[in-house]
Amino acid sequence: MDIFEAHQKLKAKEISPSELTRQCLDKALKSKNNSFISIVEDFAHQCALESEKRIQKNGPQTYLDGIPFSLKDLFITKGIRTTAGSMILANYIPPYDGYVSEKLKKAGGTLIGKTNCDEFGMGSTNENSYFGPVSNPLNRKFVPGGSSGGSAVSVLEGSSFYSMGTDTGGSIRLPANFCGLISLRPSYGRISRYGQIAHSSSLDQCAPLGKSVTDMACLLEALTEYDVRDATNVPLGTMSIAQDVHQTPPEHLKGKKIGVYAPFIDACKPLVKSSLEKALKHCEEAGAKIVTIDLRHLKYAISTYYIISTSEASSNLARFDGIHYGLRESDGQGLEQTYQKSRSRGFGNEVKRRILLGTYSLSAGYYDAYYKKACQMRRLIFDDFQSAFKSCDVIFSPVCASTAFPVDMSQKSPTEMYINDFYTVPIALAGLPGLALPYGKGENDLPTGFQLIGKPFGEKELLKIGRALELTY
Amino acid sequence: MESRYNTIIGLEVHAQLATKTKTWCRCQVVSHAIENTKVCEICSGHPGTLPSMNQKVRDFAILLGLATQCRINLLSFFDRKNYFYPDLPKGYQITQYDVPICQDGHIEITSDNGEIKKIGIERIQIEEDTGKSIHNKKSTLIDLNRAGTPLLEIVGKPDIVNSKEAVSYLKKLHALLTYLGISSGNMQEGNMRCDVNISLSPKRSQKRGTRTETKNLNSFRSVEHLIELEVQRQGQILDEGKKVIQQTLSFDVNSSTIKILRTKSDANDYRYFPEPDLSPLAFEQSLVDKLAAQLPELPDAKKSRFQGQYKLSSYDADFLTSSKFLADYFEKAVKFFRGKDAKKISNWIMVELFHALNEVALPIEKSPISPADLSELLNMIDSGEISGKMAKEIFQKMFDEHKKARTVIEELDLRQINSDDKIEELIDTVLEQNLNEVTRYENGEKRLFGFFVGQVMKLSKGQANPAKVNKLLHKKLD
Amino acid sequence: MKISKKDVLHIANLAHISLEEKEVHQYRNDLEKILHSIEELREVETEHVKEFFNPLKEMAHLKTTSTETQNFEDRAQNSLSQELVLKNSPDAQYGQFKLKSIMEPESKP
Repeated sequence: MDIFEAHQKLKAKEISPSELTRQCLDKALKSKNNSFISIVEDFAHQCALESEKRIQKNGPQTYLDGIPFSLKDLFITKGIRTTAGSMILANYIPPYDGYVSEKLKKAGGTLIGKTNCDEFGMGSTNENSYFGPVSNPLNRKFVPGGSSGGSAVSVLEGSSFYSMGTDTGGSIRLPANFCGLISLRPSYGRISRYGQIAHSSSLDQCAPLGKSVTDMACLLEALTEYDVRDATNVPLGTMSIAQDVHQTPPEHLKGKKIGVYAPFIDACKPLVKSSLEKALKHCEEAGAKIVTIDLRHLKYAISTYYIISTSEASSNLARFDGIHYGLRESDGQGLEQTYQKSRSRGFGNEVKRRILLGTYSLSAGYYDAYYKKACQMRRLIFDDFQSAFKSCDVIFSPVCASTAFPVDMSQKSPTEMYINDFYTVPIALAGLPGLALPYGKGENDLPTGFQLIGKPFGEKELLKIGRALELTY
Repeated sequence: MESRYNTIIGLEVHAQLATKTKTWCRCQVVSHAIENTKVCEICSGHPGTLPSMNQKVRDFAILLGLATQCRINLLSFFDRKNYFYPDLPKGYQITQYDVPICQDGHIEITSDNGEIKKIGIERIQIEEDTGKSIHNKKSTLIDLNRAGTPLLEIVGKPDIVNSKEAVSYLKKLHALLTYLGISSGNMQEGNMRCDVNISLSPKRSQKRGTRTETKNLNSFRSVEHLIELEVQRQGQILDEGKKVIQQTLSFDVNSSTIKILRTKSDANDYRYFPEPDLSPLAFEQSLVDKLAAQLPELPDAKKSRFQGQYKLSSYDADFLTSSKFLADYFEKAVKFFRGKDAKKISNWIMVELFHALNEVALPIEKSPISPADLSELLNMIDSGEISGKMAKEIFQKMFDEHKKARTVIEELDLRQINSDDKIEELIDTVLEQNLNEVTRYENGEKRLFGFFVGQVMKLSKGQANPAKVNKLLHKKLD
Repeated sequence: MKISKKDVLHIANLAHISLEEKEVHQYRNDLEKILHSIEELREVETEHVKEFFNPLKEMAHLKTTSTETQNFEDRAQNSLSQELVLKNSPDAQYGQFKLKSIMEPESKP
């Protein structure tokens, strides 16, 4: 059952918010997947009761009213512990509420808890969390993907109907892909980042994950009100597209031009590749036209991404110094010692590695060779997309060359993991929206899928095409 | 020593802006508040927070740029300056490193030889202040009330050649800030702080010397003093054939000592990069034009006008226009004054009023005597109701006891005695009491005239109109 | 791109993270590997390419993305209470954040 269906059932009073909440809480509390860092039982029940009152009186007020959800622990929730998956914030209780938390509360959603994630969003396997790794219920020998692994698993295991995660370089699309779920990375600037713990400011976006394309539309409706507190939020107005998206027929695909850059598909593992080829065939059968595009600079996207994201992160994480909040190791002799010990103890290895790389890229004498160079490459990557969109409506691309990685692979060779973000980082660099859809199975009988990349602020068309496709499977 | 070297001085001034709220959040800006009560999640750097700009900061920066003939950049950018310190909660300061809002302006000062000299302004950039830290033996305490308060950094070009020019520049800048109403510019309260960059180079040499930077000076006097000492120090080093080391210094005003904080090699690597959480600062020319139309009469123009309109000397006009408050005070007093000579007002302000203010270290803004009250007193002198000498006594009482002239006069019954009858009465009394001296006067000791005047004044407790005493005494004696 | 132990210690110092001997060794290896792959960027000529810092700057064609920065009016809103401000602080006294004494306060950057 997705949001849309649950909403209809709540409207028809076939089920109640309390029932839904009890079911989800049950799954959360009994979960063996370590999908949650914090579960807020009392709060969840309270939200459910309030929804119930509302629904009894006037029916559900929004699509999300009465429906249980989870939030990645990078989202600030007032009064509810928010850890970013890190020891340095293990006991941090925010004094304010973030945009996403506010809006979903306002929409009547029931928060089940804060999901586990790679520390500060850094990682692609959810094995970099201070609170332990998240397991993939489909096959425990493989990872669920990261950094929003907890979000994906909470939907997969049934402890929430949808989850809000974040996507900086693929952090929502990769776990969705590995778990056979649907996720949307909106255009940069579409949803306010106020209250989203920053990883890389020019790349971060709040990103929903759920079971259907319509659900993505429902979530955009709730989360696209302009927030003047975020100077990078674009005032395009609240989107009202759920009905339209849901009612999009398969015929919508007729004549749509889908751009494909062949080398991308070819570089995938055999079973993933064949799934992707089938998916493309599907599109053609539905009346879409496959168009060849050139995305030659995208092979530099990983290097570009890792310079920019770590540079910004090294600055964003400077505030975790043990002075005003968070872990302070006070056996330090003086100020310098306090900083060093708090940060060394509080941050995990991956975070430290990225802070070091980012600090290096920005440091005196290296700025031009690294940060500036990366920003210039980013322009070329963006231009590739701009050119491509002249001849197509949407771009088709893999999400990952393989299915889920084996457990512990990331811990044994961390730097080799970076290349796995190959297909997900480009659109983050260009600020484009991407819809990750599951399709078929790949190696190890694990889910695989693809992503559709839309034009800047082209979420509506992207979702309509996605919905049309969804209906044809 | 000074003739052997050219001195090159560049000043960097940080001015705290008099906005109601902070730069990046909506917390109130106040000079005194209970610790950590004007703080929110943004200015205390909580995770997930983002900056959003207070538009008054932009407007104030444009006003200062216009007043200093700068080029106003319709598109400027924000950057992060990264460093760690407990009063900097985000671990970086948002500043304008690459392209600031204003560039290439100047301030006019009068140099030693009386000529007008332009001191260049390199740039004016928007910044934010840090919190406050209090250090004692056992602990350091941090108050974030000030964190995020808007600052403008005004970077002057190294056109200044001595301590006097430096002080003139600072005074002019201070005047501009107060005229525009964008900052109180109060150095003692830390609203205006100055960093001084100094280098010496041998005369006739094109090569620039190594410069030192002394930070956070908070009075005109300390800037002046520091420059004199540092020029001397560097001169001595160069005289000995040694090299000046590029260092950051601090100046202890109390002991007049210069301390070395750090050398260049220890300098922080700030890793500047464009602030990703903010879009560029963009606005239209129409905004600049609108603000230009709101510019008040600026110090230089006001000074010229005062010289013309009130016939004041350059020095007096300079003094009176050094702050807008003072200039307004003067003009208000002139308005209430019934006499024609505004110089009477200016003299009284510059001498009597400022003497009284300085005695108790009060700024003109806190003067217990209002312009109207001052004029009332001067009107009374003009009409002869009181003498100039009495006026000074009355003034002091007005100042000390916050009273109007009339009240003081009534309390002390200090009205000047002007009536001929009364004065003749007093004269008669004195002459009766000093018959010997009268005889001596009539016998040719004309010097005794002064004695009689003195006695009449003494008898009248100083209230007799001296001119009339003179006239009537002559009448009686001669 | 070679990176020395000294380089690693310098960066760690800038980032205020202390590293044990074996960590220095490990991160040196990691950074060297990453920087080596990043060398590929040199293959591309970018001398006349304008930097791309933020996607929003490129969206000027969208009429709704105003070129004027969205700003706030200079009007105060409520701050947090002192209690909330200090709530997560590791140590506080007299309404202020408390630390061990800073030896050289004038050496603030």
